[in-house]
Amino acid sequence: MVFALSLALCHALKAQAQPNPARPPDADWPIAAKDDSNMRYSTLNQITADNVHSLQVAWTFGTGVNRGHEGAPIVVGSTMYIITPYPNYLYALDLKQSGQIKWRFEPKPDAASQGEACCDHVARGCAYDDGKVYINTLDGQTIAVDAESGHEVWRTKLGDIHIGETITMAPIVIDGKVIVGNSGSQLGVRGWIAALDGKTGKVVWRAYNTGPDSDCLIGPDFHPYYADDKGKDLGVTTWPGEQWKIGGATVWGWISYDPQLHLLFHGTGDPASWNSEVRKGPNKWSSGIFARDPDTGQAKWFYQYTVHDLYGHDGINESIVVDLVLKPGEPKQKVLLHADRNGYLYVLNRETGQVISANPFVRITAYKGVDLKTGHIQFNPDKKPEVGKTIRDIAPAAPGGKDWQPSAFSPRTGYMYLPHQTLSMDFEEIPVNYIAGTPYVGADAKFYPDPQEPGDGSMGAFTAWDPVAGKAVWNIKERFPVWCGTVATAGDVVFYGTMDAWFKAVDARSGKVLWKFKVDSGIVGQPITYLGPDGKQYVAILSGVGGWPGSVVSNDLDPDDPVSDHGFGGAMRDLPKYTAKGGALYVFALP
Amino acid sequence: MFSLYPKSLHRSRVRMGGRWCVVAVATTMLLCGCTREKRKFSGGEPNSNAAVSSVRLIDLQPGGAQPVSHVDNPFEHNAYATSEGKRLYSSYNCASCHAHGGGDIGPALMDDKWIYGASPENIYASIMEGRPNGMPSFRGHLTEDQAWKIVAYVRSMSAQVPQGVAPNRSDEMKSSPAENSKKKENPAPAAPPTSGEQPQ
Amino acid sequence: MMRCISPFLLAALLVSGCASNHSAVAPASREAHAISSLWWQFFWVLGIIYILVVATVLICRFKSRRDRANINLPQPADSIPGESKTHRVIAILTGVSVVILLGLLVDDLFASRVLAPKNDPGALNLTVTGHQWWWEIEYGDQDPSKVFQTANEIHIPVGRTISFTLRSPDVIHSLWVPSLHGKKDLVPGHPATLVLRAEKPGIYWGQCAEFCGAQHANMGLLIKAESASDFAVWEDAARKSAVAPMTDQQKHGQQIFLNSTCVMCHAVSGTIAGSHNGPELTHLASRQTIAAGTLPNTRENLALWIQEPQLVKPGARMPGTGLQPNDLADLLDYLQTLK
Repeated sequence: MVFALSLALCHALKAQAQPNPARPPDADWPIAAKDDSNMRYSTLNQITADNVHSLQVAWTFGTGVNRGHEGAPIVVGSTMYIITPYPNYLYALDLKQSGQIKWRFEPKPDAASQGEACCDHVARGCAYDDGKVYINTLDGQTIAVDAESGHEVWRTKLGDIHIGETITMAPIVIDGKVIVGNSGSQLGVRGWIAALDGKTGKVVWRAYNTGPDSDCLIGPDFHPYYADDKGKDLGVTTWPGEQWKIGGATVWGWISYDPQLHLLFHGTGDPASWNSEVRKGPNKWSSGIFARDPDTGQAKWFYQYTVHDLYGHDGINESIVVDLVLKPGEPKQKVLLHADRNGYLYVLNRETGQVISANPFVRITAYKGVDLKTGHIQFNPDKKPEVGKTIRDIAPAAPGGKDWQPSAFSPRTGYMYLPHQTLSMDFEEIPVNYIAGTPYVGADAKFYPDPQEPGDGSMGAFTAWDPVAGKAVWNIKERFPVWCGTVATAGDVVFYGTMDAWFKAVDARSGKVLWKFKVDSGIVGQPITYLGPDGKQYVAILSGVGGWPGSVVSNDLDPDDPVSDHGFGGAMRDLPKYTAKGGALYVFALP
Repeated sequence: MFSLYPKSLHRSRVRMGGRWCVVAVATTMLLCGCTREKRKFSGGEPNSNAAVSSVRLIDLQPGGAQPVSHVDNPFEHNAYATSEGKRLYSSYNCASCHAHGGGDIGPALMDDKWIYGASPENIYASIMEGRPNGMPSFRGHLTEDQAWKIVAYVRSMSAQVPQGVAPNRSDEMKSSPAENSKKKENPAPAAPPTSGEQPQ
Repeated sequence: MMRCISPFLLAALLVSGCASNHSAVAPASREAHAISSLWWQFFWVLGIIYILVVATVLICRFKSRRDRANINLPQPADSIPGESKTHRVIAILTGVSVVILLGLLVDDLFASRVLAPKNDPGALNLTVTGHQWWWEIEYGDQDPSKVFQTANEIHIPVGRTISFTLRSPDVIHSLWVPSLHGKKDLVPGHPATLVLRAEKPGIYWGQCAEFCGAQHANMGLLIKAESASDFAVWEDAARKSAVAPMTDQQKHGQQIFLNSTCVMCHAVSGTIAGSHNGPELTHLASRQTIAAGTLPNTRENLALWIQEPQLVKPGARMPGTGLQPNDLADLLDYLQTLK
């Protein structure tokens, strides 16, 4: 456990260039995921399970925007940086002055991009490196802003809204390169991941996730573990005709990095469209995970979580880089922990891409299991969708067992902390037409609380999961999907928020809710913890309901149409009774 | 027909009464069917309607309250056109952004909140010109007739068209109630659900 | 006069049904042969029986007239001669009928065996989807990258089993190519299978055979059976994307295609147009007909179809485009590059 702790520290220290080397470890939170490992674990331990009950608001800040705030604030030194949903304001807040605005940067993205974002106008965070803050805008630009002055240093246009491309993910910086991916599988966008030079904004490399090997940066160094991923130009030959050009497999989620192996890991989104009949074939390289060289983008290995996805199960969820002892007496293995949309929690060997285990963390009717020999997921033929046929009780629903909302791992407890949902759905494929700039979905879906697990009408859960044992340890049920991130601390406290506007602190070992606070609007953001200039530990969270399930409130949708909001409309019909729109930053501390 | 009547003293009177009954019923049926079922198959010229380009989004104007002229939707009373509008609404991906009226990326169309106006000419203009917060402009990509049919269908989603004209239930998985069984909403202006700070 | 003419009319009608590529009695496939043979067997057997029956009735009618003229005293009821003979005749004829019917049944069973879908691993799998009022065809393959689509015109190799999966997303249609097979309905929600093997090259016309709306009568299609090598050449070309336009007029024509109503409904592989509301047009210029067999594929007809589709097929989904003459000319230039 101590070894794992120091390893985590190593990662944190190596990966980020700290502006002030005198700052204690984990005092800052320089990227949305805190560090390259994506563990979202902080060694700060002033706030403990014993004293968290007296946590109180230190200060607040209203962002002035009232769509879904899925972002994480970042802290570097005595400044906090927040990116808001569209219009993507970047605020620098002075932590010495209770969050007084230092400067505000307005990127002025194209207003028309609001019509091209599938799931609210979210921005999942920004990144600090080398005196600059890097942000992505909804209309497909990456911008570097001077951290001191708030002036624009460079701006690079990467995406085209006219074909439905937007950017919502939080960038990450590796060795001075800003790594960015696009969004838009639901609009028939071809997915890619790119690296920009942090100083100039020039594109160093861009790897597509469909198409010929040359576009996907698959070359002689590519050694996938499973036979199905070996072959030439699979990004073309596993699609009919030119379907790969509108194939999806975007990179709108999380990127993690192992500095020792010098590999970055990123998931790929679902294949376009949800009508699977127009894209016969395995649809490489969608719904999977790539390991790439961050300097060149060259792929090292790939694994496809869901071959020929049928239900909208992207592969973009975070992959936590951690070394674990999987069997007693054996040495630690270099693994990735990944809770996928398809409902399985994967432990992967991060050197080879081999699946070590895949255990369901929610009720699953869509699949029968994962064959560890071939790596293939096994579909349930009774739940196979067809155009014109309604299939009922598909679990997990399209948002999956867990969606983008990132989990955390505590080396102290050895548990993963999963904020997620428990949904089932009725699903019908319908004829689909690609008209560039309009959505390319091809299915109607209706989500509802899973009727069996838990079967009590709740749709969300916060679960502690033991990845070695492969099972849940404890679980807290919530009325609505737990659509926010989480953070685990060395004080053995984990934090999460709910869509009905409660921010909670939970005992990391027992799962007992130790403290909660009602904020102004539902929480879909990611909590962080940091050391303020006064040396005290703070916890910060953005409120402001929205995101895919929260659009019933943030976009004033009508739940009398249960297939509205891509299927969430009917399920979230009661959300307006619990929260209105909002957008604020809350910072908590001990008295 | 006459051989079916019983031979009775009132035979001639019954005969005459029966004949007029049939004529009356047939005439009523024909008249009712006229507008509702008329099918005009010639297509329209795309986007050459000058009258609609002068549509006001808001009736506030300098010089005090003035009457605002309205443009009638030629298809508002035609059931065939409204059902064609429903077909076009799905085929042209309106449903991908607006779902079956409940909204998704775009706002709900079956409620009482109208950001850019609920009258037929306002909806027509929204479709043809696009709107600043993400509604694409379909000018040139739809003929006028197609756009008016979609307008009729959109209005039927909140029961703004006569019940006999609104489409019946869909063949797809049941989502919202059939348009001809929705309750009529009272359209009211609403602000776009964008960020509070963003200019509209 | 009318009594003289009507048999000739009847004969003319019968003869017109014998056109060589659109007739159930001009079979060109294994299955159509089975149907046609069955039909002729029934025709001759039942025809002869019909003639015999009619002749017998007429003879009896005339005979009884003659007998009535030679009327005799009525016979006592219990000694009518010929009653047992009548019974015997009836019994024999009933027996003969049963045997003939059984024979026809056996005939039918043999024919049905030929028509039954076979599980042939070397079969070419086509999925035909009926729309109002055109045919969408997808050529399947084990290798997904070889799957491709076309519309209204099917090419098949002679001598190879073709397995059609028939589907419909809207209303009931029916596929009928008389020279190749009988009718088979395309029922929404219930995919059906039809198997045939063409035996000689040729062009065979077909149409929708189940009323499906205003333009049911103009929902035709064409099946071209060709040698395996010709088919391979056609298939390779059909898989390719459209060539890029070369001249300025063609490029302008492509712009018009993408900027007007065309892009909302039609796909051209290799361009950004990917909608499947209407027939895909990647190789439009190589097709023999347009508008689902309604018009021969010429530049003039294409111009008419684009400008005034409702004059050709009133009620068809295709809207008139109202293009200016120059724009229409450029668009036609572009469409004619789509070979």
